[in-house]
Amino acid sequence: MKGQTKRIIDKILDQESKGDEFQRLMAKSKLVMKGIFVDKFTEDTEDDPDTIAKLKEIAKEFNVSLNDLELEEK
Amino acid sequence: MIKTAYSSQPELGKAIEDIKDQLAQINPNFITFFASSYYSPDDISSQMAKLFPYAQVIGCSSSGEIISGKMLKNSIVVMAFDNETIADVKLALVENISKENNVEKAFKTFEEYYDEPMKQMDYKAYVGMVFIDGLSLAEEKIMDTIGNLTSVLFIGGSAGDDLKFEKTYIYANGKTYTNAALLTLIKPAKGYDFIKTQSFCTLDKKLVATKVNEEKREVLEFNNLPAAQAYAQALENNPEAESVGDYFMKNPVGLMVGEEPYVRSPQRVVDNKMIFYCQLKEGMELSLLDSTDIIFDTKKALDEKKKELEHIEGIINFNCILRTLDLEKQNRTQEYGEVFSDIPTIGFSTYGEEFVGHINQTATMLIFK
Repeated sequence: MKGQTKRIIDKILDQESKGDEFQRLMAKSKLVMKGIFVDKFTEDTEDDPDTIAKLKEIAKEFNVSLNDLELEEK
Repeated sequence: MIKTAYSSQPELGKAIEDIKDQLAQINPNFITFFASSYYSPDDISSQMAKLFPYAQVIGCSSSGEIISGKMLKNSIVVMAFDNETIADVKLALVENISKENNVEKAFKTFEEYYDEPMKQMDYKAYVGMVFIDGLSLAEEKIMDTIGNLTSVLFIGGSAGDDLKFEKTYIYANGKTYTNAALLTLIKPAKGYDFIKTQSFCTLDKKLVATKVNEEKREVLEFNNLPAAQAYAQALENNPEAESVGDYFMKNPVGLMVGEEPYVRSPQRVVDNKMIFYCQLKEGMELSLLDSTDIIFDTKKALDEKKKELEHIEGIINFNCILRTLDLEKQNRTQEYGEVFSDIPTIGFSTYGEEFVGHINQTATMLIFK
């Protein structure tokens, strides 16, 4: 599978920033502090189950719902 | 209105009188102070609260103080705000931070007071300050939780104790706390801004933390090699692993968000492990940094902000103790103080700075408009 990681990251950034550029940068910084190197992930990045699990946990911490992403269950 | 005051009187009673005289022209609703550990923690907290009975009074112990135009030692610096600058302020204390994490509970008190969920608060209307026990090793989890629960920016620093590394103190309305974080949610009357500045450029060397003990802030391995060995190899003149400590001040590592480094400073080497002043997570990719001129960079950051804002009412500067030590070594502390000579400023030398997370070798500044 490819691209799922990037889609989750984008969802978190979209929800946290709600279109505000400064808040998007802050949300990105928070993800980097949590060990997710946002810029490394593209639509072509192979998904790693550990990273996906970590991102799901982070989404929960931010109270961001991933329900509409139709994620592949591992 | 913002007024600042300071005293270096060794006797607390005289220092308090000194401050009282300097702040006679303001009727404050909020007081922030930083005091050397030279002063008795309980006495200074209660005396400061007594001096300003109609204000919320907060502070912490420091490792050197900053006031407009000067860097001080063994002193107290105070900033007094009135309701033209601070529309409202609410404090919440988080205790026993080394073992627990009660940020959520503290946030509930903010929500009740301001009648608004923290997650939905407008970050332009509110700003947070955080003062935290500088020896608690709890800064990362506190800042992480704050970041999870709100978009409001919390800026601050870790309390110091004049490099004794014994006990640091947080002050709130006459009481004294250790193993605690004080969260202050402010509604500035005319808005706020911030500066985050660090004096480093990135070198073309990457270190990936491949084995860590997060809680102890230890990196056992970088790039799958013993940490000190990998760090030594990354340095330009490849020193012996045993002597890498000589390079820590000049060459810390940075967690990069775009071009912006979040500095992680190594503290010491033990058996080839590198102990840092903040946590690194396994898998984190870091850039090796090289120091630049603190005075030049700070002045540049401040000049840009002055141009952008036209008027700055006051600044609270959380300046890393490692930067202060570097300035002392270069005999340039006076020069640093002078950067702020035309703006009401207070600050202190911290055991770590708080901005999104817990960072090092940085100055985080809260600016009141």
